[in-house]
Amino acid sequence: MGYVAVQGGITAIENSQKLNRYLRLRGASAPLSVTQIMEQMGPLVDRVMSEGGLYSPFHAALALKQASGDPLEASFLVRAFRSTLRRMTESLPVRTDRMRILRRISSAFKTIPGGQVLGSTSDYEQRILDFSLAEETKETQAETVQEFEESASSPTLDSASTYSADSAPLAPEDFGKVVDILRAQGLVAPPPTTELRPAMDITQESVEFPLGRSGRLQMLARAETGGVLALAYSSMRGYGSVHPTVAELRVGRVRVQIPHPFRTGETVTLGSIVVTEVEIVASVQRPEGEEKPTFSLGYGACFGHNEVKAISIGVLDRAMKSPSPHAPAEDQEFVLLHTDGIESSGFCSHFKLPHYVTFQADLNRLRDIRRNDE
Amino acid sequence: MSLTDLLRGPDFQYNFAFLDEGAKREVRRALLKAVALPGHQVPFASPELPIARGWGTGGLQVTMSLIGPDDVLKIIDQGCDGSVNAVNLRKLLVATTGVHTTFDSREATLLQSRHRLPEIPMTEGQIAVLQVPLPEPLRLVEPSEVETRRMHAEGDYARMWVSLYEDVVQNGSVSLSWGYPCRVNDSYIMSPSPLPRWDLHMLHDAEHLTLLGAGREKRVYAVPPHTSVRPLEFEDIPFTVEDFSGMACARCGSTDTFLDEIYDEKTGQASRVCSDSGYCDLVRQGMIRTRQADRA
Amino acid sequence: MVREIGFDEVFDSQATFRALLDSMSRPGKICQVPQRPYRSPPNGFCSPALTILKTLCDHRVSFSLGAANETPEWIRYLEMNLAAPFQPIEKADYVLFDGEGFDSGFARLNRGSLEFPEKSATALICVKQLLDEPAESEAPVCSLVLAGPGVKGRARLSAAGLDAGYVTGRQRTIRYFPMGVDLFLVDRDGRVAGIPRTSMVEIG
Repeated sequence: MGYVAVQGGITAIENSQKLNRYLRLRGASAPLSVTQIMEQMGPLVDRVMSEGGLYSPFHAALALKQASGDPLEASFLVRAFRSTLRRMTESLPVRTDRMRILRRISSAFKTIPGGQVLGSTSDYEQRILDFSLAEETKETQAETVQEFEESASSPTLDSASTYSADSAPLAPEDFGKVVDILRAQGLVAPPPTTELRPAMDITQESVEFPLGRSGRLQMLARAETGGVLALAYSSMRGYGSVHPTVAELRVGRVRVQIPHPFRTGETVTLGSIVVTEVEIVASVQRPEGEEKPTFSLGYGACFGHNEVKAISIGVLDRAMKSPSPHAPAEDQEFVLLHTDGIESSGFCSHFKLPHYVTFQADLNRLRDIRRNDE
Repeated sequence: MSLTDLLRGPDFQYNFAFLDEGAKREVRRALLKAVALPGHQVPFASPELPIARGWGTGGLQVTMSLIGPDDVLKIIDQGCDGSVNAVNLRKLLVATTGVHTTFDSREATLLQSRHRLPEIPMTEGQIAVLQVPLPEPLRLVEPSEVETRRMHAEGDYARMWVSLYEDVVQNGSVSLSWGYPCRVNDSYIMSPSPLPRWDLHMLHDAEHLTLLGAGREKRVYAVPPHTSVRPLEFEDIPFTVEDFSGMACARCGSTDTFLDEIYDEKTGQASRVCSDSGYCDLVRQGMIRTRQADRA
Repeated sequence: MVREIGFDEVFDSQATFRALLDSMSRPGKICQVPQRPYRSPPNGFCSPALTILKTLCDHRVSFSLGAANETPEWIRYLEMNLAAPFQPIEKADYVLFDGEGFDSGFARLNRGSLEFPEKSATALICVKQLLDEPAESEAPVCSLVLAGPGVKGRARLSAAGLDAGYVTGRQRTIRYFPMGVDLFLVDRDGRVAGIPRTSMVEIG
């Protein structure tokens, strides 16, 4: 029975895998290319890179193709792949103040040094289904591209293609941070010295609560978008209110640099990545030992272009600093242990595994208790 | 070396037992401390595997950190080697180690299991690795990790006892069925993993070492051999195991094993079979005598 | 002084770990770690200790040495071969002692905390010879009787070249269980025995 059951199990798994492939390919449409997913499903690819914890549009797009578009499954594929990669070194801190801007806004002030850059966003589009998209052809594609390029006026666009393999040095733009304006006026407190420690690495060290800010932000950076959004929303709506003002939201390319392996004092630029960074300013606080009250700050950053996630992380960052946590969004353990998509979906799915021994134990107990009642 | 060189080529080889050596070292360090602190949950980094969280990554990381080319491996789920997930885990381990596998629990040097221990008591040359979904027994009464950590540190288990007492008042006895909390070495309260009550005695004063891995929760813990493991019970309400009296395995006739309740695919008829499929096979093949035959 | 290449990172560490696990799980049981021909250990260095340290150490943990061997030569040899940093005894995770004379630094080993008892040090004590029977050696022998988790009833363990001060010193480190220090004894032939903090140890 052992051998037969094992063979049966293997056959069932293999047949299931074949069925998955068949269902994806049996239609009349041509197979999706990984490049098509990378180029035409940018936000989805960004989401998978972010939740997978690996910056590689190619691998994220490949994972999405393999998962037939399921973002949780694709993120899992990327995360698992990441864990097989050899760790070479750590980068120097990324300079987001030198970001090559794709988009940059502030809700705090009408005009800001460097200006507001709307960039590419669907925020102000009317959400009306565009049926002409069902009729796109190579011709209409070429027309659209040519029309735009001939009329383009934004100087940032030619090297701001989100997925270009560009690794040339990027000129720093002159956009000082809005939060620095507030800092200069003493309206935002500097970070407490307890937070100024070398960053930990949540993938190499065990996570313990209460968790330092470095660990918290890392966990949120690769958390599942819907999960962090739901908890941040609870905070915005009143469960432990954080009423945020977006001091600044930036999306753009930043350089990734490492210390030169043998020439001390020099750096090597590996390339650039797109990140979304949000700084939110929230309620007035009176930090211990400080004389004057200040605004509290929340910070959110993630791979790729994902504004909802970055804003949510910023809100949760602020919520978790609450000196007396009450609401779920203020509870570190609640927020951080329940928002990792790979862990939550894995555990959720595990309930589909056989549980008949534990269920038999339950049945036995219930039948026993019922018998004793009689 | 370019970035492309770092990416996978068609002739890429996984490390022996899949995990990289750094990850194995970290698990190994944690296991040695776990053995020195019976029943205490030791945190570890628990990096991701290609197997989903909640599907045995903890047990797998322990096995991957233990296994060597000369080991003989048995993997079961609900007592059965053929269970689809056990098959999948076995595939991964064999593909990355080439070790021999067995369905006979007596031959295994490493036995990874979900929810059961084998009916034949394990011996000195064997290590049991149990897959654990929820390692914290105090989660029953306290959601916060910081607080349960304190409770363990101070041996402050009062709330656990109160919870069991309330259970008794309501139900006449403790209604917890599987994963029954146990006191280890008269010290830490531990979850034995989702074992049925039937199997708990096999952890107590055992000849073999038991290691428990919770991948998603990122904890490992251990029960050394010859260590006391006592289910929490009240003096006047003794701990009892599952009752299979009057039942026998429809395949091998055993009346003293943990029995699965099954419903025939075609007729809907209910019957009972041994959960431990390997044991059942050995009895049917006449290779071992059942315990009742020994006693007769 | 060179970086030793005679150690197989995959298979030697696996075999060594199994020996360490078995010995820590069964106090009193003597296990064998693989013997490796290291080319340039410092004078007096116990080679099997390097095998054990290479199995367990990397950049995420730290090592230290008893005063008798805390020399620049030994420190450099271990830093080079373990890729782990040297730390003072009270901070280190793995500390190597010479069993011949009791080192007062033993009392300063990190015992962990009530909430994190696993964050304690592990002491690796090099002895001349581990013996199943005390009579096997002509040299002075420290004979121990062990009981507790991992031991069926009582177990005997004897070591030539082990200062009894380590045994009495150990009593102090394990006074506030679960805090405490765990030990491995290793001899020059690669025989290893483990003594977890849960063991009750008597001399005799």
